[in-house]
Amino acid sequence: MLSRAVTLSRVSAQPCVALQFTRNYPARGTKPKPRLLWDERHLEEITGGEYTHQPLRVNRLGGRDPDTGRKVNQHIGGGVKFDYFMVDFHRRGPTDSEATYDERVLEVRRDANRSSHIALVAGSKGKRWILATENMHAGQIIKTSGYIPPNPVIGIEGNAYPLGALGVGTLVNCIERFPTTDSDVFVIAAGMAGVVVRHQGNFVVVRLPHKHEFSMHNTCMATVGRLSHAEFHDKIFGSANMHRRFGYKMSSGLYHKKDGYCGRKIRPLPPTRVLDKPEEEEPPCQQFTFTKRQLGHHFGTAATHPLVTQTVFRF
Amino acid sequence: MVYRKYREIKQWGKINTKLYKRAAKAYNKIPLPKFEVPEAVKAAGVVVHNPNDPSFWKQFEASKPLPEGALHPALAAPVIQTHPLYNTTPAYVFESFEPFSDGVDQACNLINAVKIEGLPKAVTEVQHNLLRNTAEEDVRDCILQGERYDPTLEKLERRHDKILFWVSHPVLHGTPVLKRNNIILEALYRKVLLAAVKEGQLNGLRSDRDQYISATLTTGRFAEAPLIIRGQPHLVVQADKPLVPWAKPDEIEASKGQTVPSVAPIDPLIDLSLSNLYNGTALVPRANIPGLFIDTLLTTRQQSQKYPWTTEQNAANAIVQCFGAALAQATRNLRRDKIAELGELKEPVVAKTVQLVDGRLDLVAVQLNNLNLEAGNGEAKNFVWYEKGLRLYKPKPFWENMDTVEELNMDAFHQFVALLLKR
Repeated sequence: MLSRAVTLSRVSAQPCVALQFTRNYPARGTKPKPRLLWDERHLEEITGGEYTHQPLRVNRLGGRDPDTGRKVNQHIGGGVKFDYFMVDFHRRGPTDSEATYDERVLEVRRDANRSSHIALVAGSKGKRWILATENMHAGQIIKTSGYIPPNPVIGIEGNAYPLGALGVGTLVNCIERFPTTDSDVFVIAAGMAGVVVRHQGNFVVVRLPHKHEFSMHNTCMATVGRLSHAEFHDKIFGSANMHRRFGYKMSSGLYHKKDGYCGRKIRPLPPTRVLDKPEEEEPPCQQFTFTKRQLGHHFGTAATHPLVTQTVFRF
Repeated sequence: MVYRKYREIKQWGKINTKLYKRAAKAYNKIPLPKFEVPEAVKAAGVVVHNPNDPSFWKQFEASKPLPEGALHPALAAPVIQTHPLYNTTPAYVFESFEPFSDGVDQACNLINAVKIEGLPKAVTEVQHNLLRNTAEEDVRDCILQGERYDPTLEKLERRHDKILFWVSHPVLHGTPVLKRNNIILEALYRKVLLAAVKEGQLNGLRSDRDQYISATLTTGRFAEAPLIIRGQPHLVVQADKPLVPWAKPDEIEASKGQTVPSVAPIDPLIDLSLSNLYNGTALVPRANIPGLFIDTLLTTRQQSQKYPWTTEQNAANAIVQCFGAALAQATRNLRRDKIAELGELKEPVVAKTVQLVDGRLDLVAVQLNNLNLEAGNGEAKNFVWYEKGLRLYKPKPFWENMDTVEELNMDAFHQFVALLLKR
């Protein structure tokens, strides 16, 4: 890997001293790696790309990349095969001022595939699983509205509003990155919530639990409230075997050379990132394999006239 | 260190190839900007092909002739349109796969019925002399016939513990739970029937085991997408006389001012599946024999270990199946166009259902007065009488042997007898 060298020189009476800052190891821990827990391709195969609230048996990747098969995430693998519930992170509601899409919470249950609880809600369009907020209980009616009023509203916990409708200081979760149904969402961990910081034109700035701020379209939907199961992070498995049953592998035992990556980092917060347009996916690299016949110059598009190939140039 | 599977056999030479390899890899990793067709080229109307698109290469592929006989109809993949029960219009189908979200209320809302909890006194307080002295022993015997005496040895499903979820229990063999419940229900029915026949009651009944029953409704909101209720109850009991309506004409008149349970914001149709495969007319056992009327359905369910249904959901299942039986009787031998014309029935149709799930009985009776399920104020409603979750006995977990029947509740049995005797 290439090393970067930065040279500093000071003008002084003494001879120049060149200071060099080098990093001999590649940058690590600066970009998040994808969590490869369940096989999304297998999920798409068994559901046909459609949503279902039925419990599913989805193949697991164990932290491996589905294409290369190499380990990407450490300490994941094995464990009991839990049922997978498809969670709908996107809540859509009518954009009229008075209309809302109402759903009744049928049950709130634990989910082995995520830290927060999930709630089965039923409305006129069907049943689906959503992430349960702190005080969500069976029998509760939750509303979803897509209307942005001229003045911000006080969000009711469990209801979903566009970011532009919420006042400053509202706790939100399941915040869409972009106002589309296939975008990722922020804040899905148990007990977490983002905070609406300010409104800026057509964008709303939200501070996430790790204190980074993002500016998103005011039509992005978010659910009001803190996510359920906040005590998840204080729970203890009880034994090493129980860790393994939940699909966590051992995290120590081998010799680790000190490399300078561990330890608390004190860095200034990055500036507010504006999420205007989703990044376009790059077209995949194509690989072609040609046969000897195709590579040769006798047939196909590469065929050349014998007058050219058999001409002998004598210089 | 990352696990390294392959190692070079020998060094290539004195030169450190790693330097070149590292440089080449870094150079190859530099991403080029995505190629965009320049505006000037687009304006000139030049056709630009994209060789990254797999369809680009198809123009160079030689067309392969199909081998002889490849188009033989026997080799064609089966298409759903060729299924004998295929219909172009999808229908809302209820077949007991999905529990109703709101239980009994949703079932009553769907079938536009007034909900009455408990069987009427006219049914339960009828005096009879059936099994006067031996009722308890007989019932215990019937239950043990399914739970203990049956010699079936089939592989049972794996036991799953909700708390100790990681334990893999050994596979056991025995009578499947569904079969056990079927045997118990049939034994109880046979006991009551034979005792009743001696007293001159319950004459002229026919029973069919494990036959399909399906009913279609195409009125009101189901004109474009029919409502299909189908199942395979263990026993379909038919009689040579129709059941006498339980609700009198004045009660039917009074129902015009009553309301059915509301399940807002839930739509009662969300738990029904859409399917193109269904019978367009009623399917009833012994349909070709005239003068038969559906009396009672005796049906059972096996609870899922991981996701058991609640008593409300089980009761809703029994109610909708009972409605299906009544609908099948009301539309028996009618053509599709005639079913669509039905509305208020001149003669109400009554059907009864007994469901046994996990030692609990659900007793249901449905009276069909109006086949327009969107009837509001001023129109007659249907009636549902139900007793849900009556504990008949306490079953043991399916992996354990039962020696004696525990916590037998004879009240439930007496209600069962009363329901069967009411005709």
